[in-house]
Amino acid sequence: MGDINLFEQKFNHMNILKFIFRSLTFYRRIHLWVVLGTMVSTTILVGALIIGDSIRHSLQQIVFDRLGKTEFALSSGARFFRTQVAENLSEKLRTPVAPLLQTKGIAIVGSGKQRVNNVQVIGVDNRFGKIGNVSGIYENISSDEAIINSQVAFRLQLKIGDEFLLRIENLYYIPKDVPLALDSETSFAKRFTVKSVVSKKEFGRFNLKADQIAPNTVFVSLDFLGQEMGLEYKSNVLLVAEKQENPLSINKVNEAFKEAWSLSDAGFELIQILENNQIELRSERIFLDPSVVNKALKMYDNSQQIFTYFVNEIRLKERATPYSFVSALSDLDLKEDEILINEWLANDLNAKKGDQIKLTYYVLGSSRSLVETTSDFRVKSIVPIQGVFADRKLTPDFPGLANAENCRDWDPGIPIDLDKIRDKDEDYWANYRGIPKVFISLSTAQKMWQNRFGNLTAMRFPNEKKERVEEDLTNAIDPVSLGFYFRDVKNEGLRASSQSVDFAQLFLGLSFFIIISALLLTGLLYVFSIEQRSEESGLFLALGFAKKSIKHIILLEGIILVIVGSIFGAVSGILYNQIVLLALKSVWQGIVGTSSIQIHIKSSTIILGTLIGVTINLLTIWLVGRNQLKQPIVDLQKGITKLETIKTKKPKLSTAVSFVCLMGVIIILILSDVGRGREAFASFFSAGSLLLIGGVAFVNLLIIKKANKLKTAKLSLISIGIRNNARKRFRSLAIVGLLASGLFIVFTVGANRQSSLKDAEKRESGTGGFALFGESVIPILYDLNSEKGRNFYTLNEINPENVKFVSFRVKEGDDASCLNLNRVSTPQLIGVNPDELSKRGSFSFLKTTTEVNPENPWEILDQNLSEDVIPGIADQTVIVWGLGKSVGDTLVYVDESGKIFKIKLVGGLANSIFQGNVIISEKAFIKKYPSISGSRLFLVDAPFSEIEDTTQKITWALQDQGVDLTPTYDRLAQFSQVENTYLSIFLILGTFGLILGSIGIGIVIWRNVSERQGELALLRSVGFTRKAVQLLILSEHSVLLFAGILIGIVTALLATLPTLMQPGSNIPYVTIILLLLIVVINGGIWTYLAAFMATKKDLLPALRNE
Amino acid sequence: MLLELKNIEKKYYTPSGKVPVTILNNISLQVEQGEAIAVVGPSGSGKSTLLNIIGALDKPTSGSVNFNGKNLATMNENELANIRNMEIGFIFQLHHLLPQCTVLENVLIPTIPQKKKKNNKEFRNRAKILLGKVGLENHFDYFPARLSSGEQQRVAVVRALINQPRLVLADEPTGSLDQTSADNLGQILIDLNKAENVTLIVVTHSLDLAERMNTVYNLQNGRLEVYKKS
Repeated sequence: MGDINLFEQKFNHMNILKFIFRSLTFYRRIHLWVVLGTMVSTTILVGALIIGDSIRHSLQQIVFDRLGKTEFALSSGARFFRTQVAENLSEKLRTPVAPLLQTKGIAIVGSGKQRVNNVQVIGVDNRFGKIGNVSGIYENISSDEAIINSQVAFRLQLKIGDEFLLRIENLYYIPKDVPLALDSETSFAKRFTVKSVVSKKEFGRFNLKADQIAPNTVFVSLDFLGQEMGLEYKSNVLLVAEKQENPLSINKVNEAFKEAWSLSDAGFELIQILENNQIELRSERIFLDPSVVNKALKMYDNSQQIFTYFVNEIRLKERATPYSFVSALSDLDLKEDEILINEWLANDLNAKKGDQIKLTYYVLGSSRSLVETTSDFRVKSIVPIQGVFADRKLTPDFPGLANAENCRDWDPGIPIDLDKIRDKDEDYWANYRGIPKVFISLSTAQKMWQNRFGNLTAMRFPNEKKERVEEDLTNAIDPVSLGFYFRDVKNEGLRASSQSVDFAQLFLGLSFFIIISALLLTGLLYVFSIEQRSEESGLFLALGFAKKSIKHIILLEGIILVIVGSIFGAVSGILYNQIVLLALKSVWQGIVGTSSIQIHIKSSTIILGTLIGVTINLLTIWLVGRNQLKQPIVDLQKGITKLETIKTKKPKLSTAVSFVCLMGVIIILILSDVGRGREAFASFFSAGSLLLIGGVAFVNLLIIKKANKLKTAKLSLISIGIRNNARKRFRSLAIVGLLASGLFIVFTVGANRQSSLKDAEKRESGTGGFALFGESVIPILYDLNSEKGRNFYTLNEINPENVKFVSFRVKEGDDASCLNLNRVSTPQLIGVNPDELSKRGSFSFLKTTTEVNPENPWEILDQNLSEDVIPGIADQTVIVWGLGKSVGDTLVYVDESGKIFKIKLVGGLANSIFQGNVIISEKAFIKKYPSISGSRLFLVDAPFSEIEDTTQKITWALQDQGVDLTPTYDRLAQFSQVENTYLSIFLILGTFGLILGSIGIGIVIWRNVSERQGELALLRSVGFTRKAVQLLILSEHSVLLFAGILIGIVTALLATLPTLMQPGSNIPYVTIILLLLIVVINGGIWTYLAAFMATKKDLLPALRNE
Repeated sequence: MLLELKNIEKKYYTPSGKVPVTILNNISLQVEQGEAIAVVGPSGSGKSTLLNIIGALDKPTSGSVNFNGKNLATMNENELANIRNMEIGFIFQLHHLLPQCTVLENVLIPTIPQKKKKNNKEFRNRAKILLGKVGLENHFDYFPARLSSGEQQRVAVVRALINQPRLVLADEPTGSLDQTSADNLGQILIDLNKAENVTLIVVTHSLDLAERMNTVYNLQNGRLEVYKKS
């Protein structure tokens, strides 16, 4: 009881807190508005921060969804290792390791109308389930069954038990670009029954790429897939699960792999050649990797190097022998032009020592084009088919030849004319099989036939034991150099998600104007609440309160209001965030690309948002309130606000600002080229901004000048109105500035939208003038412009004169386009012959380094910058936003042999269809990734008027390759849609900001009018009608509204001039006009309301007070 | 001597004019503790200005104000605030009561800035006694809006006295009151002057009120002259 009395007693005593409490409740109406203003800004702040958290958290969640327990992953591409390696690794590392066989495919339902291209087909067993933390699902998949993920199920409307056709890309040891590699059976089709549909919880979202967009995946039995492709018990992906205790390091995992692998895992084979006690190293890829050869040469300097090739013809004058093997051995003592021929050939050609022999053979050009070449030799001697010259193993197992029973069954990867094969050739094949008929020097053979895959077909180590050679080579060769290396996929994913597009920042940026408006509103309301109570401050001063104490009281009241407003704001921020997330999942999904966005509320974020809200609002009220007690006590006490008079002197600062800004605008306009479209945007935006600042300063000048001129002019109501603007100049300028800058920002951003349709046919546009953008699941091996390519892919219906193709090789990487929210480090690489783009003058460059020739920027791609630095080009937006880099920076990649190389970004393209990719030259591409055969991406140069017909014909012809053709403007539209969605959000939020700002203007007008009650009453008392007074108020403020809107529009037009003049621009005129109307009507309503309210009151009491 | 004004001069510069307007011209005045004086004069003669200068609300253009032997011109803002709070009580023509505070709280407002606070209970008791003396013993918890203008002005009088000032300055204290209330308030002021031995300086148009004081001064054309002395 005693305590309660004490409390009551304390509360009954008058103190500052009690006074503040009384004031807060007494002036609750005006305070409520201050609280609301604070609430709005805090709502936006907290909401934006939670959006940031939610997106970041969701992206992180996606990393766990797509990787399960995977911490490290190895993806060996076109090399296949034993699944046993997974078991060995698992034992060594004591953690689950899953082997996968991953390829691509096309899922088709019904007659083929419903299809999903770009399906990842993954051979799995129960070990995959363990990594995904799901049991049972991936066990015992029969050869007819497939597990599909929800994406495939949704897109093809499949459910358990349904059947669908899956066309699967065949995987081969031998890259398709290897000379003599087969070109048949790049894919095979099989019908599957859906065993189950897996969601993200069941590891259905598995994806090694850092992308928030869920892939289309079909899981089949690992054993079945291996068998079908001739890769039994082989795999090309390893997943290593994380370990909670004793966490693994990437080095440890790579070390463990080195201990677990064997030469056969890289396609190497060691065979014992009993006849001469030699061990031979050969490769299933026909050619030995140079890195392996170098290691072997270092260890065994007495080794024999062998290079065997297939030639089309061996000719001596009129006599010719078709299709034979030629070998080069390192230990043959032959000059460059000397040749040894065997007895059989000597008989066939009737050749003798010293004769000139001509060899005709194919070498590989680009896109598997074969170039027939000839070389001349002089017969050094004729050798018997004995000993080394009778060694069948000199010839590698060329596919299509090695297993043929007779020559007519030959089916090599090159065109051969079976009619040329004579009976004696069949006999030779029957007796001697692939024994070379010709021997040349190794250096000559390498000059003629070496290629990016190697320059030897075998190596032999004399007097060695197989086991020792195996051990030596396995130890010496670093599997990394063959592409066997692990990536720390989990950390990479988490890093990519943590560095993802910061939606908190983004939404804060997009809501910038709304926050500023809300702050302005809070500040205005607060300062007016203080002004309303200026008598109170005067009384306090008279009663002996120090100024500081009164300021503290005022500030304390403000703090309480701001804290209350911010707390409410935090709560409504959560609600606002829900609404925005709902929009992001639906109408704004374009910018996140996924509906897997979950709200994630962190108390620290809410506290932070609230604190920021409190701080910026406090700062605002401190800034606006700090000058409130500068008037004399007596005036304050009487509630007399400072009587502002009209400045008569010419304002020097405004004159200087106007002049400097105008000069700046002129200089920028002279230096900028409006024709450069969006490139010139920054310059014109600066010019517009300068004009805006100068414009507001000029209005200041104008107000003063007009007001002074009017002093001598005929007195009219309008002139009095205009003169009034000169009295409270800062308020007047605030109205003009706020309106102008609001309109400027909203218009400029709104007008900066992109349209892909307009001007799409122009070469310099983002489409490069190409009509179609194509991607294939199965690589296109031949040049589609060549007759062979057209015949091979049955593209005969296409008119080659009208339709041309530009192909790109693709090294898959992360998508760096704006569709991926993650910050990626190794975007997809695409290799092209730059001549194809430069001769067409396709695409425009926004920025280039100094090395680039502005006349022909594409040619830089074929230049060598320095060792291991190759030039690359990407979209400027990708460079800046997707990669967080700038032109001139480098990206680090690992090539096929595990070597690190750099790509220097030498040019940034204006918005193009290449978004998400880095373009390098095909030559550099092949050098770095020799095993990647064919092209998966191509542009179709065709008349835009025939897009539909061309699409149909190409899609039909290349359906087995899983070709997806998109009109280039549609592809561009997808990217533009992201940007345009951002702009839409900005427009919507900006409009709200403008409306809030207009309310602020209304408050200023109302205040302007209400504090001049006496003055208006006087006008009435001397005979002005109510309407006349209204006209005065209207004229006074309409001038300001007009000036603000005019400056806003003119400066916005200047800033957006390049975009307006650019053919691809798509200005949302309707939205802008609507917005303009909203602002004008809103401003008009407030002005009229203020005028109406001011004259509605009985003005005489005000007069008496005066 | 409690208050001594020496050669006080106050000039105003209008925003456009270059020639200053002299409101107070060489005014000297000496006031003893417990005296009650009135200053009368026509509107605009500078009565309120004089009062504001005495109460440290305004500063003279020249001349000095000595309060209790100290020259106000030598004091900083905080010291002046302290003088206004502890030594001087103000009564204005308009009561300036805070609408958000009760009668009792309004009276206690001047106790808030005091650093060396008396017991709060003491202040409250004093406030209640003083309010009782002016006939407001039943209105402690009323908000000002419920009081008549006479009652409101009486609260303002009590507020001026709460810190036991040595000097009370009243600027047209009865100016906004009806005759009965004005008489009533005049009597209260005289009674308080005597009971509390507080010095009283009243600026007024009302001769009735002025004549109740010991000395009446007339302020005209910037000069202060004795009009009547009892």
